[in-house]
Amino acid sequence: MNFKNVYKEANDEIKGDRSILEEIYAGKKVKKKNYKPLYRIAGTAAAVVVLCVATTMPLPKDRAPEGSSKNADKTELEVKSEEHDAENDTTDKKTVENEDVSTSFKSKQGVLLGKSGVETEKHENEAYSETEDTASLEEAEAESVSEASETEVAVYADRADTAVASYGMSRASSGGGAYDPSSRKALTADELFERIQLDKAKLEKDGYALTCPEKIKVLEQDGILSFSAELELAGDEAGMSIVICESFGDTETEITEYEGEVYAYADNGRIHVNISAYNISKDDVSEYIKGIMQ
Amino acid sequence: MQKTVGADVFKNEMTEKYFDTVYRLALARTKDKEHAQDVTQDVFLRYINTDKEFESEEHVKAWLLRVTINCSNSLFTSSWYKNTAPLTEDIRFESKEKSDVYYAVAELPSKYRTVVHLFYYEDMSVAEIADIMNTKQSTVKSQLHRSREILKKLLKGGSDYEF
Repeated sequence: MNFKNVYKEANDEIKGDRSILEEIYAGKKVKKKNYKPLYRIAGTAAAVVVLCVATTMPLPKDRAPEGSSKNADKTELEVKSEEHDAENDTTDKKTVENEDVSTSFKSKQGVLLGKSGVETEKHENEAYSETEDTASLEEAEAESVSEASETEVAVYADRADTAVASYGMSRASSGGGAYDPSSRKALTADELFERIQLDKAKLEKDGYALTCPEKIKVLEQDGILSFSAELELAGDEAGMSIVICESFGDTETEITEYEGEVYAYADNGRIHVNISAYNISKDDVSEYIKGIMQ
Repeated sequence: MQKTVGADVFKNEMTEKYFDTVYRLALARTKDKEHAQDVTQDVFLRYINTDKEFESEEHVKAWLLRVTINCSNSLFTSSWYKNTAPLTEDIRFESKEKSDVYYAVAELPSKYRTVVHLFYYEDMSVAEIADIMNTKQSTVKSQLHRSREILKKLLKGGSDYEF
């Protein structure tokens, strides 16, 4: 059998979704990957409403425990992380996926795990943000009427080492202690550069205007800072789009050029920089990256 | 090619003609339908908006393929992509052979997939691939050789394929 023929026939069966052609002709950009957050917004809103009702609704007198008003002050929500669901085989409980629209966090394992020995959350690009939080509502409701402190809506995290949710219900790390809302913050560009010890002057270039976002959302947990900062370096005829995020540990630089555009990324083990440049030579981009990575 | 009133019509024709070409390469590289769709969209938006003058239809095709590779690279290095697990096994084929071959190629590392796709599907020569990928011909040859070795192992047990 001829590999080429079979591979060709297989590919011939694949067709792209031509519905995006209209947007392309109109010069619009519609990210297909955004569909997930869109439908999760409804789920999140519904879950938040249900939880608010569950935590504030007064109990019937005959079921109200002694001191329930005191207990009401203690109301908290514990959220079970996805990892613990998997690890502890408690998946028979009905789960509801939630999305925090205003914040963007998604648990990331892997590289950071290797670096620190703990699981850490990763701050994502806001445009593509998606949160995959899981809260067991049924269990929460059951707990609210069966335990001594009946006003508590408790969704048990495994053995008390997982997260306590904030209003946004962001999923916290497991194994790293309780979730600390203060670990999420928005820094100014200057604050971020100071924190990652990156001299802002290194990002500037003669004849170009550097634009930094007003605030950059970061997550700092267990001494690791997760962030993704998108900057623009604009000249009259040329420019660069620069994304700086936390390093993934590999020291590398790759620069390619095609038809006047230069694509580059570099990693010095501390920060990772991804550049898309137009009307700037490969050598200039290379020099620029060297300057940043010093 | 002069930029005339007909330039937009020509661009639209090229977009129609190479839409699936770009999508298939994007899918081969990203292994995810929606990522591929996004890359395809980015590529054609760039094409529609570029002022570049193309010498021929082949030049357009080569440019589109190259930009597809670059856009995929940008995607790979984004933190968003790194946090998104690509979907697998969500493309159905008419026969098992096609499915086996397609997913065997999908198992290859990204740079090998690109070379295999351009060589076997787009019928491009090693020199053309090297030009588009901005690399040496010897590199393309070695990647093709290595790809075939891996594919033979992956497809072992099924039909014997001639490469």
